[in-house]
Amino acid sequence: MSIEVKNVTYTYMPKTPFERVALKNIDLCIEKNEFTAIAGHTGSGKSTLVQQLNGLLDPTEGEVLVDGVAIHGKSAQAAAARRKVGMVFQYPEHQLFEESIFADIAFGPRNLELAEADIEQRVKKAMEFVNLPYEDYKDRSPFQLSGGQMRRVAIAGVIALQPEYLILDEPTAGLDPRGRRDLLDKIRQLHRKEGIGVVLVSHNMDDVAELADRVVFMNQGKISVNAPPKQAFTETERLREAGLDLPQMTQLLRVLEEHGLSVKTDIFTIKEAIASVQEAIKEGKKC
Amino acid sequence: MLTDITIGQYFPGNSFLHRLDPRTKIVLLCILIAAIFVLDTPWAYGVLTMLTAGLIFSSKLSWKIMLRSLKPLWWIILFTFLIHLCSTPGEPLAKVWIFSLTAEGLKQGIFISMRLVLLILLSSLLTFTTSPLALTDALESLMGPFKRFGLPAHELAMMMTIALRFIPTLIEETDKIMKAQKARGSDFSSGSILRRLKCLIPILVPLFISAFRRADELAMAMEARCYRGGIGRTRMKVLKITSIDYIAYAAAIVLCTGLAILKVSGL
Repeated sequence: MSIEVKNVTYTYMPKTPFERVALKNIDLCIEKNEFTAIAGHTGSGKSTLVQQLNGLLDPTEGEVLVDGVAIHGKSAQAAAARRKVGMVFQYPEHQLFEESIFADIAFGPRNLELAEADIEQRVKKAMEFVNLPYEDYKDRSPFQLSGGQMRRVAIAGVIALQPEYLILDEPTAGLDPRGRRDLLDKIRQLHRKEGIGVVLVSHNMDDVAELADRVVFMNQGKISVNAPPKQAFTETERLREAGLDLPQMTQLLRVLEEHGLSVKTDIFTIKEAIASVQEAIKEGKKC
Repeated sequence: MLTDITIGQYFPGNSFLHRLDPRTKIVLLCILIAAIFVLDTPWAYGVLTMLTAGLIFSSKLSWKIMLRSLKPLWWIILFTFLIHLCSTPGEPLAKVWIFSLTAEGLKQGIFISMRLVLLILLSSLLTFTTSPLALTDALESLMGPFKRFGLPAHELAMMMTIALRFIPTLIEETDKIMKAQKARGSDFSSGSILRRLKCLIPILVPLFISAFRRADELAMAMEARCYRGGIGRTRMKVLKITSIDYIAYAAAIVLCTGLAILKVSGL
């Protein structure tokens, strides 16, 4: 079970003076049981890449397979394959439009032409998942909510489609620290408990290091690193080229190491870092 | 999708036409258009056609681009030609069904078609060699004298500038919203007209909301920087009439007077 990107090239505005190649011969396999993070600076092609994954953009060359089925073209098979991949854009709260929260979240399921009872069930489940009590919120206008709540409604709108893969483009941009933590926990839950294949696009290396099983760095329309985080963050040179930083914890540990403390530098969480520092200090005293 | 559309027809360059002051270009375009209508002699048209060809050549724009500007009006030109060909009374050349094609008609048809083609090409040259912002600046400056009679020239120009500035932004926004709704299973490209119209709601509502939000933010930003309209404002890029503008004016006046004299003297 995976999304396979096979030799995909994508060109914006081909055959005009404004032609720009955004992706060059990308090969990538996104496993459903892996939490994949895609990082890269602005203009590196990461947004273009994720739009290939559910057929919002059709590749200029190459193809994309979801669970072995090509997603291009008008056939029912391709449409069904595209439907397996849900997409949460940046600032998804900007796409809300209905009068009530219920109607907005139901928009997706309704497009799938499900039965009314089924739709209600899905909306209920999606709202509960994002911590919006169904009875209290279902009839309220989405435009009366706070920014963070609006975003949760928008994400519920995608989750109600019950995709098998979920792509999130910078889902935490502009949220306060608590909102960010809550949302990332929810996303982790989606992956661990519901078994949804998650692709997270993010600038935040701390989030990436903490959540992802596999990290993909993009640079100038190409994949520069594709590896598990521990390994990926040792590629300092490639990271610098791609305009990315190390996770803060790793940066700290590297500085400590330079100053003579023998700590591990492939660590991303506070707890592990504390343990490693304590151990290093003990070792130091012994000598 | 939508972002594949090019906005504005400006092609940057450094030719004679590019360097002319935009006001000069607008005024000269008006003079030449007047000349095309008033001086309707074969001589004048020959000279004006040569002039247009010369300008296109000196602007270093490709012929392909110029021809493309004619494309939307191609059918109108053809239609006008045929109407004149068939409906002008005179010596018949041939008869097709109930229409008689006359020599006078042929002449008249070519004339009118030439007129349309010249008008389009000359106006296209203006928009191809002048950036939209320079155009609005020039319009503001040309409308300046009418401020006395209460015409809000600066405000009109500012509105045009802002509108131009936000076209690409709104297109990008529309594209994003369309994709987001498409990702939620919305289908814009099939079904009955009513169904497709219904599909517009999920796009238009968020688009309007964001347009209003942007307008609000922009107004706030302008006010925060003490914007208060045109009085006493200085510019970063001041429009300046240079020697090439004088040369262009002089050439246009000489040309038009010459053609007018030719017309009056009956050639």
